[in-house]
Amino acid sequence: MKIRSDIVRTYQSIHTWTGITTGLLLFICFFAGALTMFQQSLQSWAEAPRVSLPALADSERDALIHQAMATSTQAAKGFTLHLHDATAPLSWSDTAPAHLLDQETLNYASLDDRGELLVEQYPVVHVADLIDELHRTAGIPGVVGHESLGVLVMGVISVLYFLALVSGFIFLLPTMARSFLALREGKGRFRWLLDTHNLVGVTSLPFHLLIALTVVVFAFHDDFYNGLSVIYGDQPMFPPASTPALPDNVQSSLHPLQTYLSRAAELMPGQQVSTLKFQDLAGQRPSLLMYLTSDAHLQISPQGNMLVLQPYTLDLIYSTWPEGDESLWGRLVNSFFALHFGSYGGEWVRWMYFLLGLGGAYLFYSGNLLWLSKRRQQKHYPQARLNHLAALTYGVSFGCMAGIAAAMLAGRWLAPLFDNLNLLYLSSYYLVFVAALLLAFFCSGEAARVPLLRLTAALYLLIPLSSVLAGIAAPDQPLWPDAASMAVELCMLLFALGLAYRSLITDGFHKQQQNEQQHKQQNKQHDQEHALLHDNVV
Amino acid sequence: MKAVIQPQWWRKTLIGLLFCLSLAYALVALFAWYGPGGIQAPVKVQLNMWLLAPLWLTFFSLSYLFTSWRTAAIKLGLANLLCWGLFFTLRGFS
Repeated sequence: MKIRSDIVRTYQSIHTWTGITTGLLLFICFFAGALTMFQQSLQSWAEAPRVSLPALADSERDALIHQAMATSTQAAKGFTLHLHDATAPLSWSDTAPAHLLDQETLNYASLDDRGELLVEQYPVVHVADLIDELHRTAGIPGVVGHESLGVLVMGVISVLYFLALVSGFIFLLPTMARSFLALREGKGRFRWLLDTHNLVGVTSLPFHLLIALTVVVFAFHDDFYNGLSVIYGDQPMFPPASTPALPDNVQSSLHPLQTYLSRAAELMPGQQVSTLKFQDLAGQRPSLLMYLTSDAHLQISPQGNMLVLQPYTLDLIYSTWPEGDESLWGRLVNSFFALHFGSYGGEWVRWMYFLLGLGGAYLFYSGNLLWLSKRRQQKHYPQARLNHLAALTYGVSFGCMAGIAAAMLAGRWLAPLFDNLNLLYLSSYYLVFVAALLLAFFCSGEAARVPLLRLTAALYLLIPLSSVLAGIAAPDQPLWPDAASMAVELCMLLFALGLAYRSLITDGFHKQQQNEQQHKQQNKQHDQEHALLHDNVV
Repeated sequence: MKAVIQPQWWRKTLIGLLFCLSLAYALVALFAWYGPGGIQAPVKVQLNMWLLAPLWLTFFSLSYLFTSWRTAAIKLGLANLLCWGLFFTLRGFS
């Protein structure tokens, strides 16, 4: 495709500068984001080994609810039913944690074969939430108003990221036909990086555009609404707050579980209830929040679509899959969320988003390396300054990957030594992240690449090794409590192998480069000696 | 020969960010009041909010195609005037 050269040049500049300013933060968000696709598996990996309480048939769940509410005043106020969870069919919290990092203890309950109530207490580790937090904020701490500083920063970054996507696409257009599917091996590292960068970028462009746009909205929706309120004028934008107070004449006792499931099937046909959260049952505004999942529907959150009912009257309070007048608009809005979270189409889409997320991380990493390679070739460019960016690139990318692995390992091995596991996770992540950054700067960039690759590979390798070691120590326990944990470790093993392979290639590449340089120097010396000899002879 | 694009990064960026945002709001305003469902359609406000970012950022990312910040300001300004003018005229009549 022919495009005027000034247009190409303009967008090339835009792509270069928006790319280099946003790449590293986006790397963190995308790597962590890829992991959030399997946050439930990571959660159950982190919580293992855990005794799981007996699963119950549908008919027994009502008896369990009844007994739990009779036994505990906290359960009588609110509890959660897990219909497909392997851990336990019912849980409640004695004290809700005020902060994500607070240590929370949950009561898990089921019935034994004689129909007696079984209750066990476990500390909850917010692994899934912590990875999600890293994904949303890139690990930037702090709160502004009621929003995390990191989320707002990523909102601004995403505006630049959107520019980088559009400009990258325009700037590639003239050579698209030639270079899109070309992977030119053996033409040097720069060519290879460029070809893979373009290939990943073009094939996942729609996904990236969507992520960029949704992140801008996630960060600035309040501001957008404030602007809209001017346009709406006297028209109310939202209906008045809608959790209705409990009417006096209503008998406040729960219906059988089947009644709620039937009501859900009536309001969201074709979607299956996975979780039921009863809240404020003894208070003025009781509610039942249900999560529904379905492979055939778009779902507003990774947990599924949400349906809120009045638990006594069964009145509909809120639905993310509305019927009637609201259905068109509600479902269109739902689709933006679903497309960001990959919460549609079941396992296949989850894997696809996982790969797209990792691909995104590669896109930003390779983008930074391309930026560096290009400037290393320009001899007049101050090379020392490039070392800082190289250090930052390797330090942040491998620091983030290694940090997550370190947190997982710390949770496995050091858990008995710490009261608050959430803090343990958080501090081990940041410790390794900062250490990787320091190492990268200490080695002034390029030299840090191989050690960091090896370190990261080793940490990821230790994750499946931990289970094997634990298995040797306690041979009567199953190696993996469930299929999800096994899949997690398989993935970590693949990460480790991939990183180790890269480190071998990079090491080889460095040595080759050194050899070439030595060779050149020797040649030069040889030539000089030759010239000297020649001069003398003459 | 057509004029060559001048970079003028800061001025173009500023014009692009502000004028394109205002243009996006104008289009969403028209859609909100006079699009399908009208202003009172329930939940539509959320979609209206969601439409702002795609419109804004698409216009913004293409606004570097203007040859200079002056043409950007003039043409985007005119587009704004047109859309807001239409909106306020319609609002005045209804």
